[in-house]
Amino acid sequence: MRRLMMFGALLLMFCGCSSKVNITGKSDASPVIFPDYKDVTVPVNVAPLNFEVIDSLERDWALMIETAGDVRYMRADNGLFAFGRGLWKTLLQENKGKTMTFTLCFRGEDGWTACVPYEIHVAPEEMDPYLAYRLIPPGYSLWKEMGIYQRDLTSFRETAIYRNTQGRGNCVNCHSFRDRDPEAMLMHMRSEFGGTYVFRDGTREKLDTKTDETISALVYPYWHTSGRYVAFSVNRTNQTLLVHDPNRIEVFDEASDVVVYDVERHEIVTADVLSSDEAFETFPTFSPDGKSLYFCSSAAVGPMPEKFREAKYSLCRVDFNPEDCSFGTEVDTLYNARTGGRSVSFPRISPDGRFLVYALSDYGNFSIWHKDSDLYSIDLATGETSFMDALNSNDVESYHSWSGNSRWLVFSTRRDDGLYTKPYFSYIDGDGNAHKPFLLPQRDPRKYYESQMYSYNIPEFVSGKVALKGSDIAAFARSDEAHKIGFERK
Amino acid sequence: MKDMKKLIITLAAFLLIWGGWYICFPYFMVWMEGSSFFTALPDFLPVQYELPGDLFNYMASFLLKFFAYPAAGAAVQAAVPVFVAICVWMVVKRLFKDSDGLFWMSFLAVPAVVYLQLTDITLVKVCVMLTIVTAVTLAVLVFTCFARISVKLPKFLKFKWLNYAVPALSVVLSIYLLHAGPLTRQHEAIARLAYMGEHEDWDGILKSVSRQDALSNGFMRRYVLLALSETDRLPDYAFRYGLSGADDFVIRQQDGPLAMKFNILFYRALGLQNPVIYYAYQQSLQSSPGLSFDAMRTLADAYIGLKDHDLAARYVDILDRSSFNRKWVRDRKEKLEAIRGAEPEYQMTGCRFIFKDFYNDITALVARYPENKKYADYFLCALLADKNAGMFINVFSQAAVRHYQDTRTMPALYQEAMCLIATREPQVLDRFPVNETVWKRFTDFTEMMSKGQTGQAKRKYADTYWAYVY
Repeated sequence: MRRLMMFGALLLMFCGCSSKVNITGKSDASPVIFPDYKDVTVPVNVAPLNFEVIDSLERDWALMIETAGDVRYMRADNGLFAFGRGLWKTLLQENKGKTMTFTLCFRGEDGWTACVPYEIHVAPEEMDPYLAYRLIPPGYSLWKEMGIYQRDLTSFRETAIYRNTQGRGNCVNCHSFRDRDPEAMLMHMRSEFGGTYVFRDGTREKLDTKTDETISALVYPYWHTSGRYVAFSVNRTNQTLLVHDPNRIEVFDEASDVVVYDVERHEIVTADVLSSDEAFETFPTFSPDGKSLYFCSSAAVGPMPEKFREAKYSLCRVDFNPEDCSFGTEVDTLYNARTGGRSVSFPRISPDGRFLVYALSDYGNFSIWHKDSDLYSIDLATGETSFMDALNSNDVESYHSWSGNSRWLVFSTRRDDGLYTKPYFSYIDGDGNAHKPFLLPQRDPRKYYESQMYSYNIPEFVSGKVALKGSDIAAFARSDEAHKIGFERK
Repeated sequence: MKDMKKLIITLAAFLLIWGGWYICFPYFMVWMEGSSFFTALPDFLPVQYELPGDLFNYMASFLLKFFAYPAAGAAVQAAVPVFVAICVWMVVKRLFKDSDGLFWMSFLAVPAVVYLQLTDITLVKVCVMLTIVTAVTLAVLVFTCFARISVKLPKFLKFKWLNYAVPALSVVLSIYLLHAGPLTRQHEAIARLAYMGEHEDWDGILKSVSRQDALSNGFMRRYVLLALSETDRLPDYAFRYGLSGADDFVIRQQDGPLAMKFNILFYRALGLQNPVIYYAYQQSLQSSPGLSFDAMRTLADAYIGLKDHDLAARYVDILDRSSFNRKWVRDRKEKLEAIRGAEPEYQMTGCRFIFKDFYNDITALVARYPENKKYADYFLCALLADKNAGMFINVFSQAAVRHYQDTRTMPALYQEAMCLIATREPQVLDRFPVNETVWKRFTDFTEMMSKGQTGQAKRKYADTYWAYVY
């Protein structure tokens, strides 16, 4: 009998479940939890959404989880609800495409009291299992430690793809994947070992991408779905600190153009519509069918920094022919900054080609620091633009990326504290409606995010684990000379 | 030599070296603590430290947290060479025959260790050295358990007096290094100024920096100008301490942590939190772990100043989990409570300034806040330093309405400037009359100058604007 009881106790520990909680009363209270996972929609393969009840005098908390066929209970450890992996997986699998009801209960003198319940919807579609991002302190002009990391979204495992301490503390940025493929990735290193590093299908290249004809080395990338091309911007960028301004710093371009890099011919190609002295072109993005190139464009303004607020970027599109890497001559304008009065950054199209999401802020292209930056969506089938109400907050919403099945959008936001950027995930249904987003889960989320001194920068979905090792990247960076690339204007 | 004597010599060495550190570098050790950061938070470690590679950084950060108190910091610093001496003694004892007479050998490395400490303010190299010494000692101890070694050394190496003379010489040399080694008294002096600035001891700064120090050292000059401004004496004595342009108020050409610290204090005194936050992050990034206690304390205070409860609470909570910030945290928690639920004061109406150069900033600040006397004085002194009389009169005309209605009692430098300007535009004295004594002094100065007694005149009126101009 004792063995049986011990087995039962062990089973409960593994499952993360507790014995039944006898609820004797109901309350209108709706306790604040962190992260706010109330009424969110989650994928069936997400890591446990552990959360903590905060700002409450109550100490003893329990959770009642009601699903279609079952009721489960669990107890909090000092306010923290940490789901056992087994229990969480079972919950999601059993409720795929359904809704779970969560009721928080606190223990008073007269027994357990139930608070207002909330729901978690389990979407039938999975999201890509990995997220790649750069972790950097929000530290302006100087840097010390930073790195590109990947997180297994089905668990809490985070590993470094490359930490700059593995090199010589140089800046690394702009990691980008070919159609979310972990086998094809590029990134830049600045200062020592400077260059663009392209890793694809087992090959690796270090490129010196500054040419006599372009204003800078390659900057913001976006892969063509064929893998043959990568669109980049080239930017002459500067930074200024604003003494009195909620946005505090401004990064602005004094000149910029868009080019396309041919990974096989090692040559960059551009055309007058993408690089003119009269305009600042930046943030290129290919359409999923590979036949259009979207980019942002502002009338050239100066002198900088005095006139940085006058730079307002329109959202443009031009035809692209992947057969011969040529461009159309007609430019479509999807958002006109002159008439709209605001500025577009980071256009990203869902892989099914249906929706284009972009960040819109009052001016410039450094929306990751603009508290007024919000996400908008264009239905490319109807041309209708909508404010993504469910995703936006009073603070920054900016960089975003789509999952391979077009159902999940990860975006960076500063909604929690106004400074440290964090990734949130939202379900986008077939009609393009965004559902309430949820924060990247952590084992002990409050403790983790409160002590996290880094911002999540450029969150990108990846369809699998990046096998590259940081030490190999560092060794390659040290050993290999950067190869010059060519230039052609069409 | 009896064990008790060895113990007494070792203890004496510890106390003397401790005293050396405590007397020579009390403020610099506090600065070292401020430049470090240590926490045992489990979620923090994997990102901040890549173990085992960053093990020494972690050890160093752990040790540096004790430097919050100079006595404890000095104890850590003194313990390092003594620990090495003890390790050497254990090795000597195991390897040599009649080792009692070789006790002096354990002190041979002490000055070298102290020298290493003076060149390694992050303590990372010290931790590497301690690890190597410990490993070698353990290896010898283990090895000699299996293979008995007993090397015989010549008798002259075992002279009794060596056991007293060598430790004494080592300690004397170590203290000499502390006094005149690579970590200079100037480092200590600047760290002391930073400490006084942090605690707003402006009179203390003015007392501790001489005119000569200010003229020869850019850091000291800036600290003393800041102290003058904070005590409302900038327009009286700015040129005594070598003001030569707007760039003398703030540090632009250096990005070391001491420069960042000064800029934090400077912009905090101006009440501008954005530059404070900016420089705090820059300062933080330059510390060994990429974060620092001092920067975090600065950030918490700046966000409290901006009534941004959430961000301030983040830094206060992290510091709450470190060992030696309890009192500081207690004070801030009260302030945090006071701003809970308040709307952050980021939204500024009117113009937004671009942080470009100090001239640009102060011009915009004076235009935006004409009622702020501190801004006006900085601007006016910068104009005087640039010998821009036309602009000075323009700005002064506006500032005088608010701050200097009776110009005969206005600060000395402004009166002196009026005298000079009056030589070209006499009517300026009708608008801004100066004190009779100042005018007499000016007459005397110009007479001496016209007689060719330039050197004498400049010496006699060394602190004046006239001496600066000519």
